[in-house]
Amino acid sequence: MPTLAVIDAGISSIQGLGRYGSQRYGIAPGGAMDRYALAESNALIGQPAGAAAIEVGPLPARFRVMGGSIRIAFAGADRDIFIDDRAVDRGMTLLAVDGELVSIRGARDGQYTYLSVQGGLHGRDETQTQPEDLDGQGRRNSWVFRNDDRVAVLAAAGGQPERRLRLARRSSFPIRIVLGPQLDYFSDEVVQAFLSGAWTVSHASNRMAYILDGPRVEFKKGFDIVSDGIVTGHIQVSGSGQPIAVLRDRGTIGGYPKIATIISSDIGRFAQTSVGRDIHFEAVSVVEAQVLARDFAFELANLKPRVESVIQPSIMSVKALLSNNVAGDVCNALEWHIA
Amino acid sequence: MAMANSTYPRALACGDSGVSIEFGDRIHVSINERVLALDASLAATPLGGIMETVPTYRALMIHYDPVEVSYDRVVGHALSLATDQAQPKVVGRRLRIPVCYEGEFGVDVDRVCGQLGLTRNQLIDAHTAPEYRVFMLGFMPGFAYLGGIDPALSLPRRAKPRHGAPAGTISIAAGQCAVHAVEGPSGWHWIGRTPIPTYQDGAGPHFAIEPGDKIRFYPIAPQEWQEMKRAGLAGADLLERVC
Repeated sequence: MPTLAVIDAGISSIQGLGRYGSQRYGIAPGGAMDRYALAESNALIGQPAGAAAIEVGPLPARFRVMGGSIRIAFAGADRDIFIDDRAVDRGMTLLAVDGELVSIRGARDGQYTYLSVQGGLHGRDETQTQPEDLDGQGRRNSWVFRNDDRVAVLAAAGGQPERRLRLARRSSFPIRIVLGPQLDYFSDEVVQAFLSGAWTVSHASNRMAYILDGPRVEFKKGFDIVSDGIVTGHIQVSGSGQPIAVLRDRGTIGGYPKIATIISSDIGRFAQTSVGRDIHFEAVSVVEAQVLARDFAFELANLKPRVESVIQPSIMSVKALLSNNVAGDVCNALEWHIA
Repeated sequence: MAMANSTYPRALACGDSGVSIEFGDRIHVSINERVLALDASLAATPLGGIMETVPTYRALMIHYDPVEVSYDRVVGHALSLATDQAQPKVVGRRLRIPVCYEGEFGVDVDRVCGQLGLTRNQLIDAHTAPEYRVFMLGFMPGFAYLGGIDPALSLPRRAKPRHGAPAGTISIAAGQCAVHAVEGPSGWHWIGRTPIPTYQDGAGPHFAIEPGDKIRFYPIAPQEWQEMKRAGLAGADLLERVC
């Protein structure tokens, strides 16, 4: 079984839709920061929208393919990606062969990139099939990579054309929110200022939360509430008046008032906002947000039919062609051209 | 949209996939009992689309899938259960947990005694006397918030949190007591440590303490701590359930 060896982990981990059921014990579900981009890379490679993939944060990361050829696809943040010295198109599957280095550079626009592997990720070795459950570091819902970690993966299927998907372009329209739950801690003027203000994602942001720089948000009646439950997308306002939008690796309970909640369909788009880039919020009703959630689910389900086969092989080195010829019982290099 | 009515229970929308059912705005046993009763009722009378529920001091957070079920249906179901007078009370188990307060196990004991004007034995007596109630778990995996502490042990949180409170740490602050399940940062005062692993990493996560449980602590010597730690690592169940 081939493996992907983590050469330079950056901020990378294995993420799918997260695991629900342990929040009552203090464990957040985790999961991919951008479920749309995850679904795109999975659709390309022919996997279910929420299948676990490697999530690479804004910093560079490198992985080495070992012990066979694998087929991979990328979606998410705009950045340079190389297989050895070949530049890679996001939105297209490609073959990487034994020994090649997958080099993902720092993100230019956006924060998170998804690397899906045909056949899925198989844990630390072939006996472990649910890599999302295998962290063992107290955060059980994801496997956060360290250098020298290895992930077992399946060998590329032979005789298949590469596939292409037109990836979504990041739009700049406002991030939709539902106001509350602690709206009564803020005056109408403050809420209006929050909605009309321009916010930027601060440097001190990560999978737990994005801190938002902008005008100070004033409280009407203090900022200490008796701690209550937290959902992904809650925008807490800290004692100093700074909004903090909590994301996939958030806590399960918190004691700051929440002025608003980012709706589920817009979490990924929000999470892909680069540090320093402006964000605006727009309030919608719960009913509107639920219609948008159903539209979003429909879009995810319809990614697969949009994936096209590519007549020409994608980007393939002589080495990749040779390696496929060598595995002649599986496929023939010529087929890559005519499939 | 947040509703402005002041009567409890009330529902507060948390975006499109969460709703907080509030029973009050204070830390109080009777309010927490209603939270846990609704939690149990929802488990007994599930509604499709509800993914999980999280009991806290005074509110129950319901996480649901908006593709499967609407906000109105979740709220209607939860509020009808919450206002049902026949709702069963969650009794909780009675547990006894050993704690070593000595030396490296209770790194803050001397300072806390100094601040409170207590001797070491007075502190241990005051801390082991009451029966505590587990109000909720959270903040970190398995971190248990306990109410019922002796007011004589009231201390504010430390000005600066410290890193590396070991798993098993028993800490106090702000009129509360906590049992730490995993190592992590903490702004509370670390007065002891239990050898009992309250969170274990097996085929699935296993937590020894549940919201609603009643806990009594009893003091042990460092040597007992080491022996129990070894037994716990070997798989022994060290949690004493009192009938």
